[in-house]
This record gives sequence, C-alpha cells and structure tokens, in this order.
Amino acid sequence: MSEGDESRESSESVERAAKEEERRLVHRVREGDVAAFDALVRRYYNQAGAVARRLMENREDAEDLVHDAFLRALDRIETFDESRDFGPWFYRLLINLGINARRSRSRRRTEPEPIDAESTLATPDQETLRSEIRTRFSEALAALPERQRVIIGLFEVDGYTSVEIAAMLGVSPETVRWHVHQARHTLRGVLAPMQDER
Amino acid sequence: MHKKPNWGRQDRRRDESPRRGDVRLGDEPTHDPSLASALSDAERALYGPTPNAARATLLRKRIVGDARPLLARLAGRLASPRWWEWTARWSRAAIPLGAAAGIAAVLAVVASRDTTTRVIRERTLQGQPPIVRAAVSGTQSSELLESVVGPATDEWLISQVFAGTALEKLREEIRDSSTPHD
Repeated sequence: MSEGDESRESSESVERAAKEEERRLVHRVREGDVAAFDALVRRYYNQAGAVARRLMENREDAEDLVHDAFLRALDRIETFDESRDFGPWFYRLLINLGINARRSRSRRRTEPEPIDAESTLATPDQETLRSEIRTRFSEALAALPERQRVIIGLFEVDGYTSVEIAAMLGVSPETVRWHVHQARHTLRGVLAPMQDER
Repeated sequence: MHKKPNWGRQDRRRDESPRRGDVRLGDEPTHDPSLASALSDAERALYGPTPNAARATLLRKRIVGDARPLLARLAGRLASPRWWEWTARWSRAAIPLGAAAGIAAVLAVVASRDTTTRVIRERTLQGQPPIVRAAVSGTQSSELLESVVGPATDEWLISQVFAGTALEKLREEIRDSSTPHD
C-alpha cells in the first residue's frame, strides 16, 4: 500500500469516527441532553456564524439568525433522519430561515468601520484612488447574488474548500467552483486599477 | 428534510449551471491572498467586525439557555411517550405479530369448522328416530333401508329364498291333497 493510500484511509476513518460521534450527539440531543446540545452548538457555531453574517449583512441580525436556527433545529430534531449528516440539514434550515428573515425584516444597518490605510507612504491622490476602489469593491461585493457572496466569502476569507461549502449549502462542488469563478471575475475587475497602480 | 434554499429571483436570473467539461470547474481553485484581504476588509465594512470570543461565548450560552425548555420537553417525552409515539415505537414489531396472529386465527377457524359441525349435528340428532338420523346424516338409500328394515346380510337373503321355496312346496302339497285321485 502506498503512502497516499494510507493517509487517505486514515483520513476516511477519522471522518467516519467524527460522523459516528456526531450521530451519537444528535441522538442524545433527541433525548433532551443539554450537554450534547451544547457540544453540537460548539461544533457548528463558527461555520453558522460565517454563513449568517454574509446572508444577513449585519452582525446583530446574523447572531439572531444563528440563535433562531439552532432553536428551530432543536424544535424539529425529531424529523431529522439520523442516518444522514446533521450539517447539511442544519445549514439548509439556517439559510432558509435567513432568506425568509431578510424578506420580512427591515435590515439593520451596521455603521461602516473605517478601513485602515494600507500604506502611510501613499500620496493624497493615491489614497483617494484606493479609497474609491475600496468603496467600489464593497459595492460590487454587496451587488453579488446572495449565494455567490456567501460562497466567495466562505472560500476566500474563511478558507473552506469547495467540497465543504457544497456540503453546507446543499449544492455540488462544481456549482461552488463556478460561483467562485464568477465572483472572482467580478471582484478582480474592480480591484484591477489598484493592482495596476502597484 | 428541509427543501433546498430558495436564493431569490435575482440569483435565479444570474445563476447558470456550470458548463460540463469546463476544466476550471474540475479542480479546486487556489486561494487568492490579495482578493481574500480585500474581501475581508469589505466584509468588515459591510457587516461589521466578526464577533470576538467573549461575544461568541455569550451567544452560545444564550442559545443553550433558551433551548432548555425544548430539551426538557424532549426528555419528558422520552419518559412518558404519547400514545401515538408509543404505538409508533412498537409498530415495527406489532404489525408482523398482528399479521401472524390473524393468519393463525383464520387457520384455526378453518380447522375447527368440521369438528364443530359434526358435534352440533350429533347433539341435535340424539334421541331422534333412526330414520331421521339416517336422513339428516346424508346416508345412501341402501344404508337408509338397512336402518329401517335391518341389514341385508347373506344369511337373511338365503333364509328368505328358502322360506319362499318351502311356502311354494306347502302350497303344492295342499293342492295335491285336495285334488281327487283316480
């Protein structure tokens, strides 16, 4: 057996063990175990937060969404098929909840944070150009389709792979890669003048 | 299971399926640090800063705290299941068992039907005249005759034949004695 096969086999067995552990955790949650629910929240909290933030475009709304999604998942835990993975089921629930919340709730605006100047050596003209590009970049990001905006953030900023994002969003990895490609194309177009300047 | 997210009309308009055979979609894209940095800045400006650890812990505690009544309900349901839950829990075993019991009952009824009919008939015919018993029990005509006049054995038949012959002889003797001799 080659080294590659061995490492693949060991990573598969680690994944299997993790899934089995999660299955036991979900089973205990169905029995009303508080500690198991806490462990499940810890396991999914960060990823859920990352998706929610991009979906709601606002920290407070994102936190409310994560909170509501966990409670909704618990409320419906008896309808969850234990032979399946919890993650995709939970993210679908979170995304559907987020999309509905966005439609029904007026958006709370977060005060834009001042972005640190990239270089103190820049001339006033250069700084003005950069500031303009950053504004245009933010606008371009906000104008991306919801799914594309979530995907490009998860991929580039949080470092998830296309397979991981596909599992979260219930789409194929190819679809994720296509969205990454499209979003990059749009955003790089906005960043190009800044890179030319360098 | 939850349905796939509906991402909205805007997405449906712009969203296209990836073209098959596009080599760019086959491999995992490499990360772009300059784009990642610009995105991170833009996201911070758009959505606010990512929650720090203390804020995340607070939210997690709030989630678990608010979930306690639901968890208590789940635990309570396990302790005293509702009738349909109890039924659902046992249905996997109860359905085949019920089906097997039904089949066994049908077989038992079929098997006991002949015995029951016989016993009822016997009890009904007790004390009835032989001809009634024979008629009701569906015997053949010869058997019915036997039950009325007695069995037609060989001895009986011979005795009857001989009885006929003796009677004929007696008649002849009487006729002879009454006829004047020459």
